[in-house]
This record gives sequence, C-alpha cells and structure tokens, in this order.
Amino acid sequence: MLNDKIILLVEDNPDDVELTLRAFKKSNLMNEVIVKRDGAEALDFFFGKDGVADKGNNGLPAVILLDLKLPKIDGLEVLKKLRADERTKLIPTVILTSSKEQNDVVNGYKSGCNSYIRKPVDFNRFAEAVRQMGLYWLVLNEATPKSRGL
Amino acid sequence: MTRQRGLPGDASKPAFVFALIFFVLAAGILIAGWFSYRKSAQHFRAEVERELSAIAELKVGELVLWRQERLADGGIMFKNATLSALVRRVVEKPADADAQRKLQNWFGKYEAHYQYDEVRLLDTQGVTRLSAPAGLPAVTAEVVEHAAEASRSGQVTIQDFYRSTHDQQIRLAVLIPILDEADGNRPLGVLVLCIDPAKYLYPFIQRWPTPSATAETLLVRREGNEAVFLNELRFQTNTALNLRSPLDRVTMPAVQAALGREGIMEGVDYRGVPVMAALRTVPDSPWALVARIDAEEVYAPLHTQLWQVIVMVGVLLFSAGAGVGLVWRQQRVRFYRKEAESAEELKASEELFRTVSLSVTDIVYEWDLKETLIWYGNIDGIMGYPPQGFPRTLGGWATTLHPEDKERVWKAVEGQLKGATPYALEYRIRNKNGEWRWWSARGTALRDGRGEPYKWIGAISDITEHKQEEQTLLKSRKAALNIMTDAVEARDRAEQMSKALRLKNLVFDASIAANSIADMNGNITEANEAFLRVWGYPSKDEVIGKPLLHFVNDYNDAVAIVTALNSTGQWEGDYLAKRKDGSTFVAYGLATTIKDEKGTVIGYQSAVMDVTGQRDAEKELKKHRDHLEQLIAERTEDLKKSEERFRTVADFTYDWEYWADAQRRLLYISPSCERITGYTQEEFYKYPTLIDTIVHPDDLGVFQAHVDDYHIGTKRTDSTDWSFRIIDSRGNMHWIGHVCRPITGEDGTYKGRRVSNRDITEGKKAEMAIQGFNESLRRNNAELQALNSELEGFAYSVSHDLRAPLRTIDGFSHALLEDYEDKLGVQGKDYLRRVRASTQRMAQLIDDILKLSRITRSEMNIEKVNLTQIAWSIIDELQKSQPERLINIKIAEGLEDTADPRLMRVALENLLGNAWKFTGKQSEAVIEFGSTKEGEKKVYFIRDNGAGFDMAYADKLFAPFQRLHTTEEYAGTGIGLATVQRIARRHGGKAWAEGQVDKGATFYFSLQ
Repeated sequence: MLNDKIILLVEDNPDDVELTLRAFKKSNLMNEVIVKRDGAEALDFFFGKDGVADKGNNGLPAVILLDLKLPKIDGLEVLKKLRADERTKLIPTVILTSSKEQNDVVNGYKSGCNSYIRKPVDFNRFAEAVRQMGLYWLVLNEATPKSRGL
Repeated sequence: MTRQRGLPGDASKPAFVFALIFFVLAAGILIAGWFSYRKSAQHFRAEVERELSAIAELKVGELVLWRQERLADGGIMFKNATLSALVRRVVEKPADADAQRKLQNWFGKYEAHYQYDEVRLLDTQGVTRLSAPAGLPAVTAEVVEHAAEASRSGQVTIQDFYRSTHDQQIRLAVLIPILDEADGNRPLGVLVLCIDPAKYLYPFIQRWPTPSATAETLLVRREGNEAVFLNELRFQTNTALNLRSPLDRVTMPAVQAALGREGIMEGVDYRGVPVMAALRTVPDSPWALVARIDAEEVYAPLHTQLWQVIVMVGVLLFSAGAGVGLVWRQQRVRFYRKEAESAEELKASEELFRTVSLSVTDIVYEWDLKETLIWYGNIDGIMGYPPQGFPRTLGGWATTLHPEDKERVWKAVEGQLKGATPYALEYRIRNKNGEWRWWSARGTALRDGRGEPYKWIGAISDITEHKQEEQTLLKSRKAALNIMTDAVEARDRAEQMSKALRLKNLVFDASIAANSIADMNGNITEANEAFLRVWGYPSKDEVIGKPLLHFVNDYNDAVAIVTALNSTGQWEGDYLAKRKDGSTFVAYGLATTIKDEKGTVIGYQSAVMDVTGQRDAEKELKKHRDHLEQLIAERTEDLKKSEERFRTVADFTYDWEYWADAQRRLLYISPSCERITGYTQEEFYKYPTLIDTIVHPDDLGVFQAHVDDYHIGTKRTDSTDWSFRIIDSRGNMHWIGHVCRPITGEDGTYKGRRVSNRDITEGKKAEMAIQGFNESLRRNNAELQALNSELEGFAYSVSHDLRAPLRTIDGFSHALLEDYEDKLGVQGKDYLRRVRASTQRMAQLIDDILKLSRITRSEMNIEKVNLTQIAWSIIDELQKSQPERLINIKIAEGLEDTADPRLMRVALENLLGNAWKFTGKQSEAVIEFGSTKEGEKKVYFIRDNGAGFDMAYADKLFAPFQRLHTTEEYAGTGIGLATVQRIARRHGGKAWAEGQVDKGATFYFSLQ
C-alpha cells in the first residue's frame, strides 16, 4: 500500500520541518514521516541499538529526504554511510537543501544520492517540488528488487 | 712326401646340394616375378580400358545432348505461327519486302547468337529464298534432298556431315519444315540452320580430358561398304569425309565401330599403328565414336614395371646365389684351415732341407738353442783343427769369438730369437794358429705353430781375404782424395783473388766520386767515369798523362795538397778545381799516397766530389739563420714594449684584476685591489694567502672549492660568474662579482687563471631590497588568497543560511494566507503578499550576489570562441521565452576571439538580455551585435533602440545593484552589467556604455 511507506526527513531547522510536512499534506501524501534532527540521530535510526536496518523491509523508509547542512554529522557523511552498508544502500535518497553550489551537487551525486532538490524560497514552488518528488519516489518508482521479494 | 692336394671327398657333396638349392630358389623367384608382372599388367589394362570406356561414354553422352539441343533450336521455329505466317508471305508474295525484312532480321539473330553460320529458307522446290548472311548461293543438292524428306515427314531433322558445294566447307544442318497450319499443314518450305563443326563440334571431339601424347576420339559413319571418318584427325589432316576405309579391314577400330560394335578392342588404326580403342555408337544418329590411344603409350608404364620386375628378380637371384655361395665358402674355409695346420709341419722340414742345399763354400750349422752345435761342411779344416777339433758346444765356440765382437753377436742372436731383427753380421773367430779370421754369418730361428722358436739354422763363410782387400783399397782412395782437395783449394784461392781485384776495379769505375790515380811525378795514370763527368772531359785519353796541376785552378792549392801528401801521406779539404772549358767548381777531395810492399811511395790516388751546390746552400742557410736572429731580437724588443703597454693598461683597470699561474703563484695583481680591499699590491705579493683571509668566512668554502676546481681542472668552465663577500682592511663588507678564465698555452696546456673582481655591493643591496619586496608581495598574495577563500565561505553561508529564514517567512506567510484567509481581511492579505514579494526579491538578490562572486572566482579556460554562434543561441532562447515579440536582430558574421566560452556566454546573456528587456516597449525593436575598432583594439558592441539611459549615470551602470529604472518599469536586480564588467576585466579588457534616454543604448566591451 502506498501509504504504508515511511518517509525519513533529516532536517535540523524546525521551520523547514514544519513547511515540508505542510507541503506533503498539500500534496496529499499521507505517509508516516519520521523526522531526525541531525546526522547522528539519522544514523542511529538505522544502525543504533534498536536500529531499523536489521528489521528488514518493514522498518526501512521508502525514501529519505536529507538536508546537507546538519549538526554533528553532515548530510554527505550520512549518505556515504548509508551507501556503504549492504542493508541500506538501495534506499532512494533525495538531497533537499538550500545550497546550489556546484560542489555540493557534484558531491551529492558522487556519494550516491538519487535526486538533488534545491529548496526554493517561494513556498508554492517548494510544495510543487516536494509533490513531484513524492510522486516519483513513492508512487511511480518501483520498489527495489529486494523489497519486492518479501 | 706325398699327400692328396685336391678337395676331400666329403667336401664335393655339399657343393652339389648347394647348386640344387640355388636352382630351386631361382625357379621360385622367376615364377613369382612372372606372376607379379602378369597380375599388375592385367590390373593396369583393366584400368586403361575403364578410362577409355569412361571417356567414350562421356563424349557420347555429350554428343547426344548436343544433337538434342540442335533439335530443340529447330523446335522453337517449328510450328511457330508467326514464323510460318512470315514464311508464307515471303514464299507466296516475293514482293513483300516487309516480311522479308522481318524474316531476315530473325535469321540474323540466329546467325549472330547461335553457332549457326548459315540460315536459309528453302521453298518447296529447294530454292534458297532468303538467307543470312544475305545472298548465299544455292544450297548443296544433298540438303535439298533431305529438305524434301523433312517436308514430307513434317519432322525437324539433322542433316549429317556434308560438304557444301558452294564453299567446300563441311557442315551439318538442322532442317525445320515450315507448315501452313491454316491450310491443313501444307508445307511452305524448309528452314535450314547450317552448323560449322569446326566451331564447336570438332574441338569438342578432339578434346581429351587427361594429358596424353597419342589419345584422340574420332567419329565415323558407315556409307555402303566403307567407314567414313567425319572429323579432322590428330595425326592426319584433311580427313573429314575424305578418309574412308573398306569394311573388310576388321582390325581397324573405326571399321568395327562403323559396323556397330561396342566395347574395347585392340587393333591397328588409320596410321597402321597398334592401338587400344573403346567403341560406342551414338544413339539416334548415324555416328559411331572411337576413343583410341596408341598401344605404345598404354604399355609404356607397363614396360617400366617389367623392368622393375626384372631388376627385382635379378637382385633376388643374385642375393640367393650369394647366400648359397657364402654358406658353401664357409664350409670350404673350415676344411682348408685343417689342411693348413698339417702343412705347417711339412714346411719346417722343407726349410731345413733348403738350407742344407746352399753353396758348398758356406758352412751350415744347426743349434738346438741350448748347448749343442752341429756343423755341416769342413769347419775343422778351414779353422786348422783336426777333424772334430773345432768346438761342438756353444760355450766352446764362444771362446773362439773376438772379445770386441761378443756383445754384438749376442745382441743379434737375441734379436732374431725374439723375432724382431734378421740375423746377419760379420765377426772375428780365432783359428788354431791364433790368427783372427773374419766371418760373415746369417741365421734364422725355426718356429712352431705358436710362433715359439725351437731350433736355429745358420750359415757362415770366411771373408777374411775380402776384408783385407777392402782395407787396402780404402787407404789408396784416401791418399788420392787428399791430393785432389789440395788442388781444389788452391784453385779457389786464386779465383777469390782475381775476383777481389775485379771488384776493386769495379768499385773504382762505378764510384760516384771522381776517382783518379797519379804516378810519382803527379801525372794521371787512371781516372773513372765520374772524374770525366765532373771535369767535363769526353774521353779518358785527354786525361791520362796530364799533370795534376792541370786540373786545379790555383797553383798554390796544388802545391799545398802535394806537400801535405808527401809529409803526412794524406790530404782532405776543399779547393777550387778547373774544368776542361776553364770554368771552376768547389771540389771536396780526399787524397792518399800509394805505397808498395816495402813502403816506398809509388803514386797518389784521390777521390773528389763537386760540392759547389752544397757550399752555396750552406751559405744560404747561414744567411737565413742570421736574419732569424735579428727578427727574434726585434720581437723581443716589441714584446718588452707591449708588456709595458699591458702593464700600463692593467695598472689602470677599475676592477681588481689578478693573474695566478698553474702553481697558484700570484703573477700580477692590479693596483685597484687597494680601492676595493684596502690592501696594496705589495701586500698581496708578499702574503700569498691574503685573499683567503679577507674572504667572508661564510663564503670561504665555496671560494676555495672554486679555486681548487679551477687549478686541478675538475671544473674549468671558460667563464664563471658568481659572487662572494670580502671584509676589507677597514672591516667593511663588500660584495664581489667574480669572473675568471683559464689561460692556456698554444699547445693547450693550462697556464693558470685570470681573475676579474668587481665591487657589486651597491647592486647587491638593490637586489636584496627587491627580494624583500618580492617577499612582502608573496605574503600579501597569501593574505589575499586567504581572504578570497574566506569570501567563498561567506558566499556559501549566504546562499544557505540567509535563504533559510526567507523560506520560513515566505512559507508561513503562505500558510497564514491559506489557513486564516477569512480572518485576515483584504488589507491583511495585501500586507502578507508584500512580505512574500520582498522575501522573493531578497532571495533573487542573494542568488545574484553569488553569481557575481562566482564569476570573479571561477577559473578561466581560454580557448577559441565563436561569439556569433553564442549570440544566436541566446537570441533563440529569448525568442522561445517570448515568442510573441518581433525584433529585428542583426548579428555580425564570424565574430571570433580567444576567451573563456562560459564567461562570454554569461556576458552576452546579460547584454542581449538587457537589450531584449529594454526594447520591450518599442514597437519596432532593433538589436545589433557586432565589432568595431578603437585604435588597434577590437571592440564588441550591442546596440538597441530601447529605453536608453542618461549619460550622466553611465559610470554607475556597471556598479552592482545599481539600477536606473524601477523594478516596476523593468524587472531586474542590477547585477547584470556588473557581471559583464567583471568578465571583461578578467579577460584584460573593459566594458562601457553610451546611450540617450528613449533613444537606445550601446554597450561596448573589449577583451585583452
């Protein structure tokens, strides 16, 4: 079911969290959204004591929205760690950031992100971007072979 | 002693047996050979027959096919309605030219493309009505006859080989009756396709699939009682239809074939040669085919085989004979060996017998190799003993032997017993009277079958008389020899003496010196050729008898020479001689007196050479030497002068010069040393190590290493240029620029170094100041770089951190507008819209700042750039964004430059974008991009006829965020032209603008 899929949002700015959730709602994406406030928390979510990485596909998010500028461990580092682990390397990850620096974009793709979205200042455009992203990764994009097997 | 010498009885029996064995073997081999040959001959014959049959079969098959094809060719025309209609028109209306032409045309094709050389149309009377080639004469009667038959039978037939009457060619023909179908198959005529067999048929028949010297195929047919040959033959010409053979010659394969026989036969062919042939009849034709080959060719390989068999049989027979013979021989050898052994004993007794029967003058003896000696003959008498008186034992005999000969005799005996040497020698034996007699002895040891000696037989004879005669002869011969030797020696001595004399004369005559001999009175008695030549006399006669004085120019010279000779016996020296013609020459002479055995002077002899030339050369040489000495003196003087000059110049040189020889001794130092170092010339000369002490301690190592390198020669570059420091006598430091060169002699040897030192303290100070300046520049640069990266970090956080609050403001304003719309009221909503507009504008400003800073920071990538192309692509994009606008665009062709393509695109985007934007209110907008020259510089411009600007603000245009219009009038943040300016500057150029309000603007930029 479409709505069973979990979305993981890694974002330190509470305003942005609020606005992103609002954008989801506006786009009728009713999935459960788990929010992590920094890179360490995000990694802990996967690989910590009760991490979801071991729980198989039930606990794994269908898509991760990742900010680059994060306290403690930054977004690129988080992405690399996820890609290095066999259990999490296939989870679609979208970088969601204010930066448009060439370097950030290149490094993001190099580290294995699936999409790169720059947060526009205009909320309407932001909502549109989030909607497109949700539509693609949650609805259109087929689940990875691994998850389909279960 | 008699013994049977022939073959023993039991030996002849095997010989007979062996002969029998051999004959049986030989018979077997011969029979086997015969059968082997027979078998392979049969096999071979069968092979040839198969081959002949196969070829005959093949040819027959193809001939049948060929005939069928010809009939098929005819079949095409037979019962062809079109053709028969044409023929009817031709036959019945001779004036129908059209029909004739058409038919002729048809014939032509057959003649040209098939193997038919004539095509004719015969009418029912056999008259040729039409032909190809056109106008052929009447056809052969034979054909007319057959044509009539064909017409009657209504069948396509082949007219067999016939000879055409008009050209004597042999042909075949396909006869096609043409029937008028419309009129109950009434015959209209016959079409005749004539075939020239020479084109295909004959070559085909003659062809033989394998290489063969005699094979051929021939075609025959029967005509009455004859077989007729139908083709040209390999070994006989003009045979086709000409060569015939009566049918009773049954041995001829052609006859048999004509009679209808098939199969293989051997017979005699048309040449009378034996042949092998395969016979076949060709179905549906009168032909019979013979494939024949000469028997000789067929059997040639068989002959080879026969020979091989014969050779093989021969070899086998020989081997059998040899084998049997060998066995037989071995048996015989065994037999003879036995014989030989019994013959050995016989030989021993025979030997004894023979020895005894030697001449009676000799005495024969026998020795049992122990003590016993048996003498045969009168040994006692000869030796002066009573009968049986001479010793009969070896020991006794030995006492009569001369002591000097004993050793020799025993050695000889031993040598013979060992079988090594013959026993033949002479020795002395004493007779009864005590007289020594010479005996010559020979002897031999008799040996048994194993070679062991068992007895000795010998003979001796008295040779005493003979020996004495020999002695006498020897003595007289010796005396004669002595006399002869003396005579020869005497003769040799005489010969030698005369030879020496001859030699002396020869030397005298041949000498290149002018030799002469004079008598006691000083008159010439002898002179040689050289004398005559030197003094210029043609013959000796004019010289002999003349006094010596005659040949000397100065009387006094002559007197002096003679006086010297008389007193000391010899004279040597130069004098002036006078030739026959009165001319003189310098003579160098050597003269001595001649004395006889008693020491009395009997004359004079002299040897003279003309040394005039030599003396002249000596004089010349001296002259040169003198001149040379004078020159040296002059040069020395010059040198002295030049040295003075050099010293004057050197002493006044500004630089501190010095010169050290290869042993590092200071040869010269210029006075200017004092100006630079504070020490005088004298001090430097006095203290050779002074230079080392004034060099700055930090530079001393390098300085000394340099000097060492130079003198040792490890590094002696032609000119070195480096600097070091010295401390002068007043304690001040000076920088010295040092140049030195090696001095080499003409032969390349090292003669020391010449040094020029210059005080470069001032220059060095300036250089150091520059270094300091560079250092601070480097520091500033580093600071700038640090600042730059700081700016980069700042820009990054601007983009990220400043945008985040903006997003919040905008986002929640939006949320308010949506969620609390009814509570806000019209004014509240308007305020929130303003808030949102401002946030978006600020976001735009932030982006533009970033863009600007990126342009300044990014790396340049200079390459060839096509500006025309870039401009057009930008215009295309602009046009796409506002397709409704109609603008007159003028972009110059071929605008190219070297620049960063990305930056050029940004600059043009801004400039063209501006022009596009500011012409937005113009009804007939014009935008132009081109280049012009300003002085030497290439300048690009973008001109529009848009809003323009007031020139008073021209400078402000290019400052960031500076705008001349409100956002309501024209959108924008005011960053575009600042960007253009920065791009131009980064390329080493600049940007500027000209304009007038409402009259448009022109923006210029230059690169480099």
